[in-house]
Amino acid sequence: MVELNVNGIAHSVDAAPETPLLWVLRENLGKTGTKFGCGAGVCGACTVHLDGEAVRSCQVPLADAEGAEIKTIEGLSSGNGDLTKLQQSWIDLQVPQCGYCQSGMIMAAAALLKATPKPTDDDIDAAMTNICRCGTYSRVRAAIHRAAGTE
Amino acid sequence: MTGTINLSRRTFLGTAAAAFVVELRMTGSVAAQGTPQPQILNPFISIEQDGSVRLVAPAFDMGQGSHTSLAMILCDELGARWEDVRVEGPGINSAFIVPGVGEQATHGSFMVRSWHDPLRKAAASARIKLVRAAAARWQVPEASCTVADGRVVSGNNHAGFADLAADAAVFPDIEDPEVLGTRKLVGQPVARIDIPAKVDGRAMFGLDVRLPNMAYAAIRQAPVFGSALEGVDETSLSPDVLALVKLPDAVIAVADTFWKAKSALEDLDIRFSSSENDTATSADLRADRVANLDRGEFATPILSGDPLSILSAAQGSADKSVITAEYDTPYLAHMSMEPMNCTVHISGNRCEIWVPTQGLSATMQAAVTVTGFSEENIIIHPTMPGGGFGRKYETDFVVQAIRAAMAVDRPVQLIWTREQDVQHDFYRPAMTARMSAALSKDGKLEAFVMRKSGPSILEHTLGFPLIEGSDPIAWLGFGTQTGSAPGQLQQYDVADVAGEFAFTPTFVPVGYWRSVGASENGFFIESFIDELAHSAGTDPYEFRRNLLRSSPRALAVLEKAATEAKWGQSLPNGHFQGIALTDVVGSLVAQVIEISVPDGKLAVNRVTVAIDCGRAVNPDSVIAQMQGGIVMGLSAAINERIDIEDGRTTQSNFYDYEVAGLAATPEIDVHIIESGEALGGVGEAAIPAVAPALANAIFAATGKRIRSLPLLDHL
Repeated sequence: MVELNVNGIAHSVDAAPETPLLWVLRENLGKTGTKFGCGAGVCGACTVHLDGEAVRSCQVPLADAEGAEIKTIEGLSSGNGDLTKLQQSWIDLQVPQCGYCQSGMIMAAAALLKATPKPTDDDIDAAMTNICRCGTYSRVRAAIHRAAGTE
Repeated sequence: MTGTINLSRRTFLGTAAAAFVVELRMTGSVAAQGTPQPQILNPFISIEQDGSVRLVAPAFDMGQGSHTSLAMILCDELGARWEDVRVEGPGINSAFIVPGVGEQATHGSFMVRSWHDPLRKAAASARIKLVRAAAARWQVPEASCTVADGRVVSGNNHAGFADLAADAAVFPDIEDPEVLGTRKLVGQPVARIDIPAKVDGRAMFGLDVRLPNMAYAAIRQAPVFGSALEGVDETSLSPDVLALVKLPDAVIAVADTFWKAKSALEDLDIRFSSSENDTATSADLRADRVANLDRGEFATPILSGDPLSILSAAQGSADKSVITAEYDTPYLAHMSMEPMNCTVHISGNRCEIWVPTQGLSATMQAAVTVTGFSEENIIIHPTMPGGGFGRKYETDFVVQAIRAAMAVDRPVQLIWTREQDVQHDFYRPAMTARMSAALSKDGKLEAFVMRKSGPSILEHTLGFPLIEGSDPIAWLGFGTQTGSAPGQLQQYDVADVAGEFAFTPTFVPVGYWRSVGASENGFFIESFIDELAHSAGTDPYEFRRNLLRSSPRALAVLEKAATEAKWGQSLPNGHFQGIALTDVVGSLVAQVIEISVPDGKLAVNRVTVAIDCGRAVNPDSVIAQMQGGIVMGLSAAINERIDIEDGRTTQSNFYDYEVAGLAATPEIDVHIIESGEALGGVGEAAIPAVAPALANAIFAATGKRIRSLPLLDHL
């Protein structure tokens, strides 16, 4: 059994220690907001926070996540139906299209704003390497600026 | 009326209201048992006990915003309150077969343009039935009743929809109801109903289906196209595997988690047969296309006037010139972010399928064939799709999931890895085209011929015979679809035009890729028009304007893009522009792309786009589709190419099939022209003009004419 702390709740998980965190979140814990896109750490659809840092959970073996504070899209806001300013900006600017990549996109943006509360366009270019095949990037950039007050 | 939508407008109906509670609810999340049944007024519309108005959508929303647009159309015509409207679906119903298409599917940018009129009639019929119920109850003339904000009112009498629904449902549908054409929401930027669930992880895609006792399956398919499964050495088979399913060209492992299934499959020694394609390469396939062009045997699906005679007469004539060029486009992958997946539960003679599918009728047919069950015993739950772009019209992954579910006594979710997705796509077919045109001495276009060589989606994927030697899908975007004369070559004023096809079959699976044949035809035609302009010594924008004197609608779109992009005015040092105009899915699109080439490296600085889709139902969705489509078009034009080596796809994931990212996204400036003409499609409309506008800009910058994609090969 591996002990995990996800969105502030402790879980005991029965899975092999080399299993990527992504699949444990999705299958063992039912946190399906974190998506599978490439399995190679390239697309960013599986982005979660590990001790506040954005990581690609398809590349994190379960054993490495033990003891860390894991945050998924489901735990980004307080959970009472309210949203973070970032998520509200996403709605205000109507960012998602199909929406599949957006959990990872928002988690990457949240980590960026934590590290760099007033990001420049260059900061956004460097941090936001997640892939969106619908091409929502213009609105992703605008929504990050809106949440940061750097419009 | 002509007007443009201000892009900076950021107030949406809906988000402004704190009470905005409309959420997308998919089929499958049906109300708990014991709750009162809704009153069904027709296949599209029912009224719930709580007063909510439920629209069952005829096809699914892949993120284009089509469910919201349909809900807006319904709400306006019915006289409902926007906050009461819910959208479900797609439902499976013969009433939802796309008019003129003959199947239930999501493709061809048909959703809003095909369903606008039927849905408005359904809403008008429902409204009249509600009025009829109210008039009977109150003993007043129907004409005394008005409908607005979810209520029927006559004098001092008034009642909500929920109160009247049971009485109304008794009346037969109104055959040809009077449509009021109310426009309170339609034409306004309305916040999409599907978006709130997409920012906090609640949105449920196909891959998120969870059923009690569900198992997971991974698949490995024969890497070489045409190769078959020969055998599996099961001595090292992991005890985690619940079932190992052998298909003619693939092996599926089922386990209680996906990681166990995938790992077990990777550890297995699987042998696939040799194939006649074992040594084939992309270069061979291109050589086949070229040889077929050289052979000179063509079908002629498009012919107007006598362009071939004009061309041969012009050859060697002193006062005319003949221009020729050969163009080429590569195979492309779809790369929808959600890999192929399908969940199936078979119990007894009943088969339930949860699948993100664009092809509902095709899925039903495939399920009937594989299971041998009757349609009544096959229940399809369409899920939200994480992208489709044409790939999710196919049913290969559905068939595989059914076969996996047949092997175990549990529901099974089949998940393709990204590698399987890239290597077993139904690719945008590679094509080669030879263009020729005759110009008069004063630069007038007198004849235009495109000879195209390549495979057929009709023949390969749909299994239909060619139509008189050609495939209409390969000619999308050649003639006009917006109904104008002249219209043989888009809306250009040239009477002598031919489109000829040399069918060149291939073993590579080919299929629908966003905008389909138009995606390469736009590049061929609009790059070549640019070449003709330069041969004629005319500015490419003016050259097109001269050809559009009889087509005011297309001219207005071209002029709008050029004016907004400040075409012909001085640009920043080192900046250059290219222009293109396309006529696809019933909409006209013009783009001006501005680039610079600092240190020999291409930078796309700005894209200005004008679209006339008749009327914009939800203008913000039109803007979003232009923005996203242009990113996908840029990605394909600059970077994307599937290579075939040794009979198989070389690329395997996002690291070797690179798609555009945020940092490469230019400023995109969208202008909507409200011509008031018939509704055009939007989802695919942005793609075809991107590659030629970009290649034309590169020519303006460097003098280098790029005639094969991707552009990166030439920079």
